[in-house]
Amino acid sequence: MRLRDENKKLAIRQKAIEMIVQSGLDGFSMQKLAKAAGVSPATLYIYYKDREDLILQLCREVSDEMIESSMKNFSPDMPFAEGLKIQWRNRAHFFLEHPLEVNFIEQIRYSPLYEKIADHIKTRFSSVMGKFVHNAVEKGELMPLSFEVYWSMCYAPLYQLIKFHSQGSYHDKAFTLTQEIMDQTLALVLKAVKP
Amino acid sequence: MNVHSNHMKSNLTVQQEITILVFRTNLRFSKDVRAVGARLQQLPGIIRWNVDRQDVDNVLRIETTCPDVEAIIALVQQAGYCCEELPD
Repeated sequence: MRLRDENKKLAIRQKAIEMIVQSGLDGFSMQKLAKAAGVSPATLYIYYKDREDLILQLCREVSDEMIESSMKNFSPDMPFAEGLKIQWRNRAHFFLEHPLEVNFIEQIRYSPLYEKIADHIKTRFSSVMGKFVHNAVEKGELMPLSFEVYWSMCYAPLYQLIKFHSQGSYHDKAFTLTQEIMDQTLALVLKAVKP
Repeated sequence: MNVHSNHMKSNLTVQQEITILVFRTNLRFSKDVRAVGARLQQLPGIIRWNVDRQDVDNVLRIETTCPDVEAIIALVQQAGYCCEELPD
């Protein structure tokens, strides 16, 4: 059997993500990927069963890394203000450091393939984040809210700031997300959701 | 497992090497895959196989302990389809 080579696998992953972000899932083929990554199509099939298997495995890897990074120094038992601050910091960090990976996950999210890995993503992440919210409500640090309202209040502002940072805002094309701006926004969010 | 393992040291397990073979085909529809699948089962050593119908090459991927490329190509061709090994 041909030996697995971690460097080769990384090159394949990097190129696949680039190609899917640039030209979408429809135009993505194993042949084009092989050419771009400098491996033979046969090599791709050593690592992956088929095209779908490749996309799903990459998606699982990237979302695991995303979740892993958001859990850094975080515990669902933390006070709500402290935990949310760490979540914001971790998520902003990942989004700004790995824009390509984030774009890739977004592409998959709006494709029919997403259903096949949604459970994988939800299982771990949702149980921890659900516990965090539950604790906060119990301790009287957070109003009981529906998921949609909670998310729109507590996370949407952060993602909008990240978007302004990478695409420019309406007023300032060179808008930069600083720690100060993040802290200011977070303080307002915490004030709004306090019972 | 090697059938003669009783002649070897008892803690030695003999693992047969698994080879992955990939072929470019024109197996486009599930009926094509079924037709070839029925024949593939007759070959020795095949552990699992699949056809990547979502990709342009319709790659037939086979994991086997008996990597007989010619036999596989002949078998797919006899079923009326194209089949060529993808070079490494």
